[in-house]
Amino acid sequence: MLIKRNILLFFRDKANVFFSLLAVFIIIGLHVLFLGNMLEQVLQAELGFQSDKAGIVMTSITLAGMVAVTSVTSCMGALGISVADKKDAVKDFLTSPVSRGKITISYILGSAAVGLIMTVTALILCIIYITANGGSVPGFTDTARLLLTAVLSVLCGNSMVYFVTTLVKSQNAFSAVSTVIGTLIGFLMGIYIPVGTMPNAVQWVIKCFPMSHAAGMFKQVIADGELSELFAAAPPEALEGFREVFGVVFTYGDFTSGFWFSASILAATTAVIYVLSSAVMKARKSNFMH
Amino acid sequence: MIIQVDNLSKAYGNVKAVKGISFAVREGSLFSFLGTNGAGKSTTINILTTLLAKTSGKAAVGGFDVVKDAQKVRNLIGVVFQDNVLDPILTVRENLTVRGSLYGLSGVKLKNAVENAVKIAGVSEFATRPYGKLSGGQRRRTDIARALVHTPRLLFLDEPTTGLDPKTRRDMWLMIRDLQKNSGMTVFLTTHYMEEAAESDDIVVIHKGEVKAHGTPLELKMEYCSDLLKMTLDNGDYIERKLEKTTDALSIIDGYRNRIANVEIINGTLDDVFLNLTEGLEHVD
Repeated sequence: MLIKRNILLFFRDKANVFFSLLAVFIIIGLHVLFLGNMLEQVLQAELGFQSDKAGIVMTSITLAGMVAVTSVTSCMGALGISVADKKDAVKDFLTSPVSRGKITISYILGSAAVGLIMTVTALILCIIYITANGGSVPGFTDTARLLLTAVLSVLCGNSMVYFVTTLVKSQNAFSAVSTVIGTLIGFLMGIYIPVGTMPNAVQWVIKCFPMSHAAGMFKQVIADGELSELFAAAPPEALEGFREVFGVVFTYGDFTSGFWFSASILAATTAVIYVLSSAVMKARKSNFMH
Repeated sequence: MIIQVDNLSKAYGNVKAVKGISFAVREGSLFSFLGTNGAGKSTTINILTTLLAKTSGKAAVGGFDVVKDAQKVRNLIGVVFQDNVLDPILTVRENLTVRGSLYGLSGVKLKNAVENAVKIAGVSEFATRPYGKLSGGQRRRTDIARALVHTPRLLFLDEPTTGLDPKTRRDMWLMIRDLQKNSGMTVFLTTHYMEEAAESDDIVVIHKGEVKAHGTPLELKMEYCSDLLKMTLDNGDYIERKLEKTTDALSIIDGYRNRIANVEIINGTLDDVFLNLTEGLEHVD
């Protein structure tokens, strides 16, 4: 019932839904306005020939990144409820016999549910757009891989945002942090600007930011098929170079991340962050009884 | 005794908010807890409602220690907070359902509990409207419905009528009285309005973290304030006397029998008791 409450509170608050999607709207806006064209030209230069598929491939890569961003920002909106509750509602919960653990879990699961609903919706819209514009319809294996990516991406994004909520005390602080994260996330996950065009140090930041792997996994499933068709005539190094520049895969020295490696990164990060969060919660001694 | 407090203290760092207070509340009574802002009222309520850890002393609700048996205490109590703790974008009924589930209620049981609370608190007219869109009085009623959803034995009301208009305040008050009389529920109330406290069975006045007085409204009036006799004589002279007992006025009036233009006896009120106990003490300090 508490989980249902948290989900309802998110979707009933239209402003909250809008603002948690703001980063997504910015990505779409930027892409439509100028990024799309620019990236298309980059790709055509890389290929060395003109292809009418170049536009949709670049759009799929951007949209794949957008889906990954959704999984973080929607959790941010949903977990904002737990921060808002710290002001008044928490008193009501704490004078009730419900266990404290249950309250915490209801925030995490409620937010995960919100994240999953939003991410899968974004994913469906994205696939519809791509197939309507000449992209291919994902088969069964790809659909399964997309859903798995959505789940892992939401779990990981959710854990990171949850960790933030354990650190902030007021709603003002949380909205400030949300604004910063919402603005930076597109860069941190290498979506606004191709990873390969950034300075080396920044590239490493992106490579080490776990959520970039969620974006990478979405890109692999959504765009890899079209990419290999496009690059069929080009030497294999060209395709590899392109995938690296656009954050479809990440290289660490000689090692190149694949789908399952990225999946493990997301799962491991989720686990580590929850352990960290509970440590922070325990370390925080408050006057309130638990 | 549904509440038993013995030598209870709470300190925030060096600041002692509550300094070893003791009092008890009878089961089924209407109990008023009076004090100025900062007297330690909220701290005491927060300890009794298991929100706040105490520094020392003992506090038990329904025979259960508020620290060791906090969960059992939580099952017994309903709390109406000063602030709005319900969700503004959920309807009254949704709010009650969510909060009712915190007591382990579900399915038909939860539904019945919600409908029962809706009926008792008289919120059925606006039960399908969002809490945030209600008027102050409707919101308060909903808060009370929420506190009653699990039929508690003890209801805490922290300044329930503050900020309400006089009519709503009276209605609210009648409802609380009815509840306490009809259901035998104990009501623990803090208020700024003395006329409300005047109707309670017992009053405790707390000031600067200490209990300054404990008794029925009548006992407090007898002890801490006096009646006042005011007379104007036919030659324009004005006489004012404090009275030990109201009947003392008779002999004084009798002495001026033929010269009186106007006589007035003013009863001491709980306001006087409160001011005497709090302001008076401040001067002594």
